[in-house]
Amino acid sequence: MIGQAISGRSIGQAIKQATEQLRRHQAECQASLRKLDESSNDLVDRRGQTLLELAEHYLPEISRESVLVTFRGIRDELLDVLARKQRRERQLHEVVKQDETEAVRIQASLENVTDELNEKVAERQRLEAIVAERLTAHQPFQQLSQQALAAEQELQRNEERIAEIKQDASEKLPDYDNNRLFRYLYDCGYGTPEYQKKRMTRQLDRWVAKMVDYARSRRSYDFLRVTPELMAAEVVRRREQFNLLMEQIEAIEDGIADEVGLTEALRQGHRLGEQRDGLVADLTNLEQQFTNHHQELLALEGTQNDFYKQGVGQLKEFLAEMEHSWLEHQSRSTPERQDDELVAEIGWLNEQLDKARRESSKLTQEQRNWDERSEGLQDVMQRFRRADFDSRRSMFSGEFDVERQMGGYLRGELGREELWSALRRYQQFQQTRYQQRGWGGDDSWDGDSWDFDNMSGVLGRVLIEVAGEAMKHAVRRGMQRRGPIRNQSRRKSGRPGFGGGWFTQGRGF
Amino acid sequence: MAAVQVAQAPPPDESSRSASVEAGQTPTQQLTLEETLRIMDVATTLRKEQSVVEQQLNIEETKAMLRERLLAAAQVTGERLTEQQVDIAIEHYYDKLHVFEPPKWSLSLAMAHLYVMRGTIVKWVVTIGATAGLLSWLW
Repeated sequence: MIGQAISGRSIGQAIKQATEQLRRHQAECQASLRKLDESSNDLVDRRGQTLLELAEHYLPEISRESVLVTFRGIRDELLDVLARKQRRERQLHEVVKQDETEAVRIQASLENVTDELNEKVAERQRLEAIVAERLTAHQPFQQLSQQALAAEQELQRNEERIAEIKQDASEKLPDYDNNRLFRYLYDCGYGTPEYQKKRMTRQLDRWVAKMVDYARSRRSYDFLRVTPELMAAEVVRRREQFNLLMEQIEAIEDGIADEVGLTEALRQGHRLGEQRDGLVADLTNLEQQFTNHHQELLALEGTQNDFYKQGVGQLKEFLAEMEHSWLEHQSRSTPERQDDELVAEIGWLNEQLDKARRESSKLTQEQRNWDERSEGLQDVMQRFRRADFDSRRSMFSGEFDVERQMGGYLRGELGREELWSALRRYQQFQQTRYQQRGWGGDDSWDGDSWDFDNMSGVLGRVLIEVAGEAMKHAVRRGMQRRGPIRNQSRRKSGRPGFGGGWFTQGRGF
Repeated sequence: MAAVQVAQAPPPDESSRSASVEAGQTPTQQLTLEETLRIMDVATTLRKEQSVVEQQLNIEETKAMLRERLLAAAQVTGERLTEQQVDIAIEHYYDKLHVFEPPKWSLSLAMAHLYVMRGTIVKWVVTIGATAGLLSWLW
């Protein structure tokens, strides 16, 4: 890392601030939309009133009473729709408020658990160092380690040899099986006590056997057929011997770990890790729920909801008979001035409404952009938490300009995937001495192809220290051989698993 | 001599065995020569198998020993052999080891094939003969 490293927690704070900034933008946009909506409603009211006046003027077949009755009916229905809409809005506001309260509660719990986990990680590191120190000074442990690693190396060589001889056998055996003369003699048990042929046949069989050099061929055939299996059985026996040695080594480690309190610290750490993973999952679900409710609320305040569509439908039906163009035509055909003024007012109101509609669509688009960004940033934050980037061990390179990145995201110059990939690129967990990837002091191994979850980082590191760096591959192979068995035996004895040296799924603790 | 005497006697049945155990004889004393030999055979087979397994598992050591011997022999005979040449020769030897060598084509080989296929050939001849006989009888 170059420059002053930035803690994961500060980056988390920066993301939270950016989220709040986005929320403010959303709220501003929402307020503008609401204001515009209100003024549009006034304009629509005025237009409705004017249209009604004009209708009374031109529609002699509709009496004033009948128009008023119809309009009142429509108005009542609209009021009913509005009341239902407001009721749903109130419900949603309450739910959103509850979501917010719950989110605050979970976040507070998460922060507490995270702090406790950070402490537990520090304790684990301290205790691991003590265990490692004691193991290194333990004489029987040293002797057993040397023996176990030598046995492992031998096992590795043996396994390679078995693979080689199996390959050899699979290439050579078909030639024997496909030869009719050899197969005939083999099937009738020639040269064995089972061979029962007499006189002439026996003589002729001897002649055939000479032709294929049966005695030698049979020996080779039996060798190719039987030897790999015998070797495999021998390797199984040697593996058991290796396991016995490793069991003794592991018992020493477990004993010391119990004594210094590492086992208990691991147990508590795993419990806290599970709690944190659970809280992160709960918070993710809650945020998703909050987003859904918020979106529904926004839809209710805008034009994309069932209540609006219902209201518009009813109004359209009512006004269908009072088309502006028809009324305008009627107005021009009459000499009175009053109707001309009314028509002019309707025209002006329509223009204002069109203008408001254009502005509303612009604001809606803006609102949608803010919503998308807010959702994206929320997603990034969820990934950030799941990956444990907010742990004390999580550090970001000094080269990472968080303000520029967040600014770019808020302005829409950066997508959520780009932001997340930048975060991942600049993030690193501080390696501890006893985490498996740090065993060799480098990351040069293809660590991902190894199953680290069942291995003890302390034992691995100490074995390398005892046996020397040259044996690190033997150590890793040995640990990998033992991994599942050891995990099982630890579970039986009530000890916590190693979990790859981490307490959480995100591997930051 | 005692084992031979035991071997000459008829194999003891279960009741006589339990009686002899009761009489204070150890199971080893009750074994017949045949049984002893069979156990010895098994032990020898196991030893041989173990030896083969050991040899095969330590093939690199065997090759190294062979290499040393060949180089020493070459030095004695005055032949100029490099270590690389010896290694190639050893690898070649092990590659060819246990490879089946089919006999070269000859008239006697063809005869041998006919001989080992005699059962099949006879079956075919009988089937064809029977079919031909049946057809001629029908005509």
